[in-house]
Amino acid sequence: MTAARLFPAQEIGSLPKPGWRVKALADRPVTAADVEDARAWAKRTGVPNDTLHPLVETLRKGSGFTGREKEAIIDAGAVFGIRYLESAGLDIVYDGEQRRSEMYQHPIERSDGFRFYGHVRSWDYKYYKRAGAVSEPRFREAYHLDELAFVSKHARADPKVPITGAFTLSDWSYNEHFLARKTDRSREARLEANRELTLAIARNVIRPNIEALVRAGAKRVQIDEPALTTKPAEVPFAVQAFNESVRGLTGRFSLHICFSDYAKLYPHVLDLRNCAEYALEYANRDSREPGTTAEKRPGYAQLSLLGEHGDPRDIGLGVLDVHSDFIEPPELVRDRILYAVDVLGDPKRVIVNPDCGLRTRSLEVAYAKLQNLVKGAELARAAL
Amino acid sequence: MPKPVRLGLTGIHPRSEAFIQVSRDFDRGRATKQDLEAALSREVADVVRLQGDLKFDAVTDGLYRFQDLFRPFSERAKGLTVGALTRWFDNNTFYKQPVVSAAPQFDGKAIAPYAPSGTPPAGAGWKAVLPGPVTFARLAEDRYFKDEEKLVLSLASDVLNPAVRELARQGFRFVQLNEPAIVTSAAEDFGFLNEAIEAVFAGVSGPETAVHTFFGDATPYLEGLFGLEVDFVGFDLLETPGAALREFGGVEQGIIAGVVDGRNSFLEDPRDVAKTARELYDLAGDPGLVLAPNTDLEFLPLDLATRKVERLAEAREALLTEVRA
Repeated sequence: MTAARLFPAQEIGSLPKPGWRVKALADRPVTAADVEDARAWAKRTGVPNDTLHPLVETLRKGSGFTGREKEAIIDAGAVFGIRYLESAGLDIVYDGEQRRSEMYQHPIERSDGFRFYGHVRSWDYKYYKRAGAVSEPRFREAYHLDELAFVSKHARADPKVPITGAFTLSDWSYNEHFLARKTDRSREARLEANRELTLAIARNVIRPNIEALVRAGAKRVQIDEPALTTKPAEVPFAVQAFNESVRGLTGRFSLHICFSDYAKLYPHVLDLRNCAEYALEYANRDSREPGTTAEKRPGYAQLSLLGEHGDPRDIGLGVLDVHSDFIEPPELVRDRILYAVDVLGDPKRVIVNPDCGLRTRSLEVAYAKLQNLVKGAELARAAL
Repeated sequence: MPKPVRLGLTGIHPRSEAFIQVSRDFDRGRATKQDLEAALSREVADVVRLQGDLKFDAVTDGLYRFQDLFRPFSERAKGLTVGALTRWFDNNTFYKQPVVSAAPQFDGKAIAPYAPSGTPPAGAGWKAVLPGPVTFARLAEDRYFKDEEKLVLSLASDVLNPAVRELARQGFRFVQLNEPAIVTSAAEDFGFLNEAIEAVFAGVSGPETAVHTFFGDATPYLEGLFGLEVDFVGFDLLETPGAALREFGGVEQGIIAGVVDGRNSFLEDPRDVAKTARELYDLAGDPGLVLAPNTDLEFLPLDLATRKVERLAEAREALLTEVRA
């Protein structure tokens, strides 16, 4: 069920948030330059006037935005995100996660059974707010429904909902509830406690959320599991959690993993059910030299794992490095795609995307990268 | 005469919410370098005070100036550069991979900006925590030697030794090498590990020395670890069963007992901690026992970490009461 043409281009998740949106929400002054920035991007990406004009009127206030005004600014940010991706030429879009704080905090804040303790460092001056799982995880609300309704109303391209998976939510939480039930803290006891927490989140939180999305019309859902290979011994129950999350549901479900050794996924991922696609990071580890030989494409060496294990799934091929301002030339994107086609043996199995969310790049850099991704896919189609 | 029972921190300490805000502001250009430095000084003062109040014998500065365990060296050593963002073992915490592209060389004085200065709390000395040479080598990207043994020995002699010599010159009381890679990726050859550890501490007198392991079960490596020429060997007792150490028997070195979990919010009962420590007390050699978190505490928010450190001190009191009885 990929889009009609070969090598459809999709986003993976987060985009940088515009300065005016960040400042307004953080109660910091919005300047005339911020307003001009909104105008310039609106012109570039085709944001409609019925979004831009009320936004500019609101932003001109500069500070002291009311709750209702902030809601309108968030909505406008989502329209900007959608149009940004569509005008870059993507076939499958979302809103750049403009409504979400962060991929862990957002769902945990909207589920029961967790207690936030404070921030911990991810690296350097980057942090995330970390919670303990203090009781049985429970569904409180379908936390992506508003987004989906909004995107469905405003998007012209196919929407795809990214949702953080159960394993990652479990791995990034302190497991208190299930560990407290164990008689010791042995490795085996901790493993079992983690399995119980992961499956409880899948059953009680993620599945009801995905059911709600499917009921509301979602056709594509991407389950984000950046933590999946962190602990190889836990991959089998991460697979169980995915299956529990989507079992029997209708739609195209994909699994996004990044910055990982994908060899650790096998053979366990062969047991995934109702998973049509892996969206994986490769560009980060690749050379920037053009070429379609294995020597020129070292970052894509692990593509061969699919063939070695007889894994028939499609690949969301990461062709943009999200941690670098290097703008991949279309020819490099083309060669990465053609190499993947050669390894997988079927061009219909290749969807193209950035390695991960582009939130750490500037709007300017991310846009140039996405435009070249689309041009590279066109070149690859022409080459075939 | 009972053996000493001391307290120690294992590595990088968590940052306060106040510092986190300043550092985020700095990162986004909304705070100055001076703001950051002032906030950093407050963090250091707080963690030093905490250790002083709890009667730590060797006190760290929380390693607040280390963005990761390797950064002072990958930023300052010749032949090394700061590389790609990489996962720190099986944590949702990342380090920047040191890239070795020429023969490494470190001027020992370059460690000064990263190390504590001034007067430690009354009765205490400064403690330094540095990467062990095996962990350093295994987590680096080697574009120069393309030979693990050569890289390990060069990092030991040309990078870590000059730093340790400088710390010794400054009067540091305790120097600990963190070596998680020994127990997580298997140290097949303790011959060159021993040589490397000796090279790190060559020509150094004064500070007590330690190699601490964590994130993995050290049981298969006990003989090699206790063969190292250091005063203390450390274990993550969540991963390494106490029974394995008891079975190994008494040793000459002191033992760093990683008895509180730096990766879970669950607060340990000091009586349970004391009970675990009691079993190791008899095994330890004359240097005695250091009760410590199994890992760096930076995987926890500061408030939880502080409570864990306080429980460590309570456990020591309970253990000392029992030993004296």
